[in-house]
Amino acid sequence: MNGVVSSLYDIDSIVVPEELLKADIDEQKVDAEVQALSKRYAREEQADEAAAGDRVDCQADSENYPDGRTILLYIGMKLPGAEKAEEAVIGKKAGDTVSTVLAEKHVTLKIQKIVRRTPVEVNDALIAGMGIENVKTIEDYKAYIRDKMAADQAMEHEKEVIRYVMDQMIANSTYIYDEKEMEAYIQKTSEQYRKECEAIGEPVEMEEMKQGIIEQCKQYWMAKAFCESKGIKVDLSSVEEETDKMIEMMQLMGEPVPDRAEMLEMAEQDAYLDGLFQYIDTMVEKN
Amino acid sequence: MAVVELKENDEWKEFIKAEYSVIDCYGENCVACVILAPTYDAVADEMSGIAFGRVNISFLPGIADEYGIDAMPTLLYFRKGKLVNQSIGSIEREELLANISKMLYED
Repeated sequence: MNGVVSSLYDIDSIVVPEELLKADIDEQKVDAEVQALSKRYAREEQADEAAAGDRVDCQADSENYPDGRTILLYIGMKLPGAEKAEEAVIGKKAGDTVSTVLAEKHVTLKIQKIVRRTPVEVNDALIAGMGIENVKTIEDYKAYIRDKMAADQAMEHEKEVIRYVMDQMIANSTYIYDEKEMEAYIQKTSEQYRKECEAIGEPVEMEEMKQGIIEQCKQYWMAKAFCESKGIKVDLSSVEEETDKMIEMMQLMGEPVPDRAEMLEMAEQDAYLDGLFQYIDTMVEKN
Repeated sequence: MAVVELKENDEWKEFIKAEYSVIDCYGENCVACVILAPTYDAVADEMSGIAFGRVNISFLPGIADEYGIDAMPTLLYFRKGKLVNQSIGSIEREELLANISKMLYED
C-alpha cells in the first residue's frame, strides 16, 4: 500500500509518563522474597506418622503403575487427582498400605517414607551459603532482589514506552494516501485475515480489522519518515539478502513460503521499525 | 527446593534423569517469562522430590531444538528423562499444579 507522511510529529517533544520510566519497588515483595528462603532451604527429616504439610513417598501396585515410579503425595496441596490419596495417608506410617483413588484409578499404595520439612531461620549465614556473588548478608540479598525487580520492571516498561511513543507518533502525524487504494488494500488484506481467523476458529471483527490495517500502514509510513528525518539508514540490500535466506530456510523446512514481494515488504517495515525502536531506547536511557 | 539455573547442555541432560523434573525454558527480554518466574519458584519451594530447573534458551538453543520449543516461556515436564508434558506461556499456579499432577500420576 502506497502512502507517505505529510507531517511527522516531533518525537523529541513527547514526554513519556513518569510511571513508565521509574522503577517502583514494593518493599513488601522484597521481604516476601527473603522470607521465601525459609521454605526454600527447609530442613528435611523423616517423620513417623504422616500429617498435613508432609511429603509421602509411596510405591503403587504394579497393575496401575507398572513402571514402578515413586508416587509422591503432598498432603494438603490438593493436587488435582490426588486429593483422596493425600487424605488417605494422613496418620499412616512407613510400611502401611492404603487403598485409595489416584488420577481416577483405584490404587493400592504402600508408604515407603514420610518426609517432613522444617522451615529454617533466614540469617546472614544462610544467605552467604547461597553462593550469589557479593551477596553475604540479608541486606545484600535485599539489594540484589531490588536490582532484579528494577531490571524486570524496566523490561516490562520498555515495551509500554515503545507503545506509548508509537501511539503518539501515529496519532499526531498526518498522512497522504489514496482512499480508494486503501479500500482495495483493506479488502484484499482482510480477506486473508478472515481466512486465517476462520482456520483457527477465532471470531472475525471486521471494523477492528479495518482499523488495524490502516494503523499498520501508518506505522510503517511513520517509521520510514522518522528514519529518513533522523538520517537513520536502512540497508535495503541486506534486508533483501536476509529475506532470501529466510525463504531458503522455509523451503528447506518444507514450510509454505509466502510471496517474496510480501515478505520483502514486511522485512523492510521491520528494519525501519528497528531504527525507531532504537531511538526510543535512547530516549529512555536519557531519562 | 531452589530452582537450579542450568547453564550447560550437559547439565540439563543430566538434570532430567531425575525421577521427576521440570524445566522452565525462558529467554531474554521475555515479559511473560518474568511473570511466570515467581509462581514457578514458589511451587518449587513447596515441592521437594521434584527437580525444578531453568534454562535460558537464548544461550542454550539445543534444548529448544530438541523439544521443538518456539514460544517462551515453555515448561517441560519429565519422568526419568522422558518428556511427558509441556505447557506454553505464563500459566497460573493452578495450571502448573495440574501439569505437575499429570507428570506424577498419569501415564
